[in-house]
Amino acid sequence: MEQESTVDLYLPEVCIANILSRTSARDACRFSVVSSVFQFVVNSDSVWERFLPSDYQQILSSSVSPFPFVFSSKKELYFHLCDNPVLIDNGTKTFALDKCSGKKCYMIGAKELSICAIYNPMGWIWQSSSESRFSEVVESRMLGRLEVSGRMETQLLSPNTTYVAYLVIKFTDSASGFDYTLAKVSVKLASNGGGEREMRVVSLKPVGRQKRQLELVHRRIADFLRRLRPPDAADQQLPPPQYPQVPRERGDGWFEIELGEFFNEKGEDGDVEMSLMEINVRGHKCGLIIQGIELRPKKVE
Amino acid sequence: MSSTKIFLKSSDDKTFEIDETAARASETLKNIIDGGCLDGVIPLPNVSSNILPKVIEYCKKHGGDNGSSKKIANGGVDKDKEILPDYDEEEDKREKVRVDELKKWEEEYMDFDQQVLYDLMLAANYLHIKGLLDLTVEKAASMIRGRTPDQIRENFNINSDFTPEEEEEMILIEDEWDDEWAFD
Repeated sequence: MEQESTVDLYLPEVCIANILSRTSARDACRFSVVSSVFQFVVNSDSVWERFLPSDYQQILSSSVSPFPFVFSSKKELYFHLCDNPVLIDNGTKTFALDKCSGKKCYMIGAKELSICAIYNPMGWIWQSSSESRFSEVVESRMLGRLEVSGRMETQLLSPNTTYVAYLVIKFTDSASGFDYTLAKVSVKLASNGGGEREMRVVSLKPVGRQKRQLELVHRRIADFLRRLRPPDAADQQLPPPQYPQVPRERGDGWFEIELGEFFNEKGEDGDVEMSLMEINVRGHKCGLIIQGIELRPKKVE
Repeated sequence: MSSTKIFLKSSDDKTFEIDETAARASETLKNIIDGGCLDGVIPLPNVSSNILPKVIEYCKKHGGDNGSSKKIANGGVDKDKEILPDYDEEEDKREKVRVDELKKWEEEYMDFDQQVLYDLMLAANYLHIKGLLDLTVEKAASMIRGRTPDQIRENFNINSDFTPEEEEEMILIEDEWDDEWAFD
């Protein structure tokens, strides 16, 4: 059998499968056009079994509803998991795969996040949402301070991977009070002793409002940064004003704000804590919908 | 540990000598030895005399010590260490030196051309030498990551065996894949 299939190439299929399984899903798919042997091997379960996380069966077993599909191949399962996040852990998280790397992606639903004043019915209201991965999302009503944080065990994430955390949000048509809202975002690993590793300022301004407003926000940022400087550096040149990141469209009807990134080496760093804290609290904010915090591997070029 | 000599015969009828402890790095040879089927010389019709010495060199380095290749594969981390009661720093340092030395040895050992790489991979596959198979497969994988199908054909010395019509279809599939990934 092995002899027959190695017309031009004398390596048996099992060796080719072994080699291809150490490349990536992207490489393997492209290599299917190399020859008929490659095409056969690329579609084999032994290759895709290695692209799937080693504990994928265990993860899927915590799926909320019994897994609805029977897959004809591991390749089919792989691509299904890339495009269709699965609700796990009693519906509090979703699990998916990053298409290029096969690494694990999670979203922690709003129910699992700590949100300031979440029990105040004037501040937040829970509502069911068909546009969300979760059964419920939370919308701000007459919110004072915006503070959101979430935790994830690094042990659950893929090792040797830089992850980026995003707050996934949306604004209602009548959203107000966010135009000048600035927040600091941070990502902390428990193993770092809880020290802040990264701190950035982001704007929560709903995208697409007038430019004049944006300029005002920029001026406020410059003021904020000026105040952050130590006094003895007063006569040094100010850095050019940094434009804060604004919510970015995801392509699924939601927006996201990057909270920061961290390197997960062996999953031995305990919990990672991701947060967004408003810094210039003023007025009431309504119409912000929070879906959750998503963790995805950083894209590598 | 006994150091009985074992004789291996290559596909081109050349005989090589190897210590039994070293030979045990190969599952296939280990089974022959333990099965008591040892009858003078073991014929290896799938391994030529160019490759067999290279295989023996690997077995000598790793024979009777399967743990070391495992440690390399784990990136030099030995999880068992933590539960050993007599764990001490000195031992840890010696272990690190040993692992580094072995890595360096493997780097030098793996310095050969592609033909040898594939022959060695086949031999490791046939003789079930897991550490050597991992080494060769990883090297082959590192040579093709991120390459184009054309480069792969060249690398493996393959001619596409698709008909012209299939070939055209393949080009379409290739483009589709590129689009699919580019979308991310």
